[in-house]
Amino acid sequence: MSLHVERVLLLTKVPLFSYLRTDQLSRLVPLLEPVAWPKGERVFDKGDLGLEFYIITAGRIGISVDPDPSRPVFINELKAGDCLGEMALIDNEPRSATAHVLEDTQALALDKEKLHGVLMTYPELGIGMMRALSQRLRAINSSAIKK
Amino acid sequence: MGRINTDGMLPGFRNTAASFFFRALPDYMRGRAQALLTGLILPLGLLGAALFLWLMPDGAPLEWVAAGGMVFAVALLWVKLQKNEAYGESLMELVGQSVFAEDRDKAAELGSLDRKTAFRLAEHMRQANTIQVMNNYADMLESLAREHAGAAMLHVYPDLPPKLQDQLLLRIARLAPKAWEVVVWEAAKRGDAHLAETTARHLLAVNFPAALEQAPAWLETSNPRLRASAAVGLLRGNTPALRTRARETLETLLASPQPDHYLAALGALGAMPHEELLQAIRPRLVDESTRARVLALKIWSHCGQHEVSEAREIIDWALADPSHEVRAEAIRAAANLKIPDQADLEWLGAALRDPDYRVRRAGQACAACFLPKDQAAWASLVAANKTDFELQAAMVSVLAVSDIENRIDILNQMSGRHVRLARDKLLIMENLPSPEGASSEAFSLLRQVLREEAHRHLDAVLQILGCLDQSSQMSYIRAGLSSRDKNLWAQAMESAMQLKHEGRLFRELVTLFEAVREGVSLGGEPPGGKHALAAWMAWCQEFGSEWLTKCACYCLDSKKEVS
Repeated sequence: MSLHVERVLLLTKVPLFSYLRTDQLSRLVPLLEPVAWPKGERVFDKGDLGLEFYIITAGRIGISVDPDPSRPVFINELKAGDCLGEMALIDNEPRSATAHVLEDTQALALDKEKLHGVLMTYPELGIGMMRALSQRLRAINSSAIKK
Repeated sequence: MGRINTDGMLPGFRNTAASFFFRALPDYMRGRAQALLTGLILPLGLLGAALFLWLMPDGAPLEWVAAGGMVFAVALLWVKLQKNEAYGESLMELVGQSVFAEDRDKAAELGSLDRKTAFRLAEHMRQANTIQVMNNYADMLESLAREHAGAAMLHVYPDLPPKLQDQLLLRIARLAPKAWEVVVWEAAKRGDAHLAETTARHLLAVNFPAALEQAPAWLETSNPRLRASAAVGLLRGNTPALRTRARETLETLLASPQPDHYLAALGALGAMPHEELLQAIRPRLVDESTRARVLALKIWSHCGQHEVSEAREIIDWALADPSHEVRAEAIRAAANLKIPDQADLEWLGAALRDPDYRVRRAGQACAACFLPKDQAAWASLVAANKTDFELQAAMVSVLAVSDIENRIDILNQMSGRHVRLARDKLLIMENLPSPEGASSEAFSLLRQVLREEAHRHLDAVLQILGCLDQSSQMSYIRAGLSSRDKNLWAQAMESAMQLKHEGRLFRELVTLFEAVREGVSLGGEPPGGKHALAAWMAWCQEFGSEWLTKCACYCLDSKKEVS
């Protein structure tokens, strides 16, 4: 029971789910699968087929858009509470970036089919998704301007 | 006189107008209000004061001035009351422009359509390119011109594409306008196989002679769907000569291992259930095909009396099915069952809380079948019901349109209970300690859950108010109050407070809404008294939802771990 509530607590901090009530988040929790990667591994490479998206519960992940997936040139760094991989699930295009595991990382995964079901069940989630994507776009824009 | 003018009259005009205009107006309208104030209200005030001084004779006694002031004060009060009313209405209009809210009065005002208008409406069905659009027109026809709906639909039927004809045929057969059989028979001859099957079923069910002539050939055809449709039509039509053959055909199809055979039989029986085949249907309730399970459940629930224990087992099983289609059909089937004590609210509650919105919609659509039909049962249900928001929302919708005599009292009672629970939850939230360390997150979550539940209680009050008062005004207010836009919310709340009947309740609601949205302190004592954490947790478990109960337990556990 406490694990369930702890996962809800984690989801409350995810911008993607900011428009959902905690009881709705509680119904989402059973759909999430725990996954983990050791430091140095890659979660996915640019161009891969996107089937899942992840919510990081612990650890750090670096995002690189370099055409060579092995080159760690990061444009963004994600930490606990951040999401990754949702773009490919929305636009059905291959992964637009490579995700490098910077330290041992744990995450919760939601697959494409379940995400679509959840979106149909909680349309508010769509607004949360737009908000998260928009925040990421702003972050990338501002880092591009600084350069 | 000068002092009366500057200290009394001018501020009287200016302050009244300022408070009228500025408190709730959005920014883009404040400039206009300012212009009105300086360009019209102030000069009018000055003119009034000048008139008063001009009319006052020289050396008039002071009592005259006092009397003049009295008259002015009464006039100002009258103007203020009038303005208040107009202000409320104009605010309402403003809110109405900014929100989308269903205006039920409009549909009611339309009344019943005459034959000519019904036929004109049916003409629009020719342009319908999807089943949904056509069904919307058909729904409008049935609700607004029931008398002419069948004839109007039949008029456009031959020109529709076969896919739409297939859907419309069911309504036409139900409404049975004059000579419908001939029109649909002719339309079916044009070659669409699916339409031919549906037409055969409906025409055989009404013993249409031309279709009966074809029936023996249809029962022998290699197409399982046409065979099944014809057999089901014959069973319903009760033609003694072909009845036995029809039943045997269906039994063979249902027992077949080939999915297209048994699905054809289930599909035909699903559209026109018949209890004679109940035994052959039962094994398909647990078939591996989702479609077969859905259809079998539908047919089973429409066929005769069932044993209570068997029915409970089947419905419980189906409500736990992994497919949303089966779960949605399960709740519809439960609503159809003609067994005693069918009012099992657990089934309804499970459907209304289902993670899939389609199952929840199915639950909402048939909620009335599960809820009491008499006053006493309603009273005990309301008293016994714990905090199950989904179930209560369904209860309110059903009760509001029921013919229970004291439904308004019951709804008011429910609304009062929601207000009390919202207040108590907010008071507990306010008084919860903020411990440091491991249990801080748990308490923070509990605080959030209490706030969310208080908000849901207030939404429930708004829903009840919407049912009690179905005017467009209340629709606008409810939509405005649900908005995340602070300005719109404030306008809606201010409009609500101007309402004659519910103004007092809204004044109470405004305090609670402010506590939920802005964290404004309510300043009262929580249930169980101050500093009574154990009592609050027990209260949460008794009066909270299932989720709040879980969170309260989690909080207690985390506190124990820390200590």
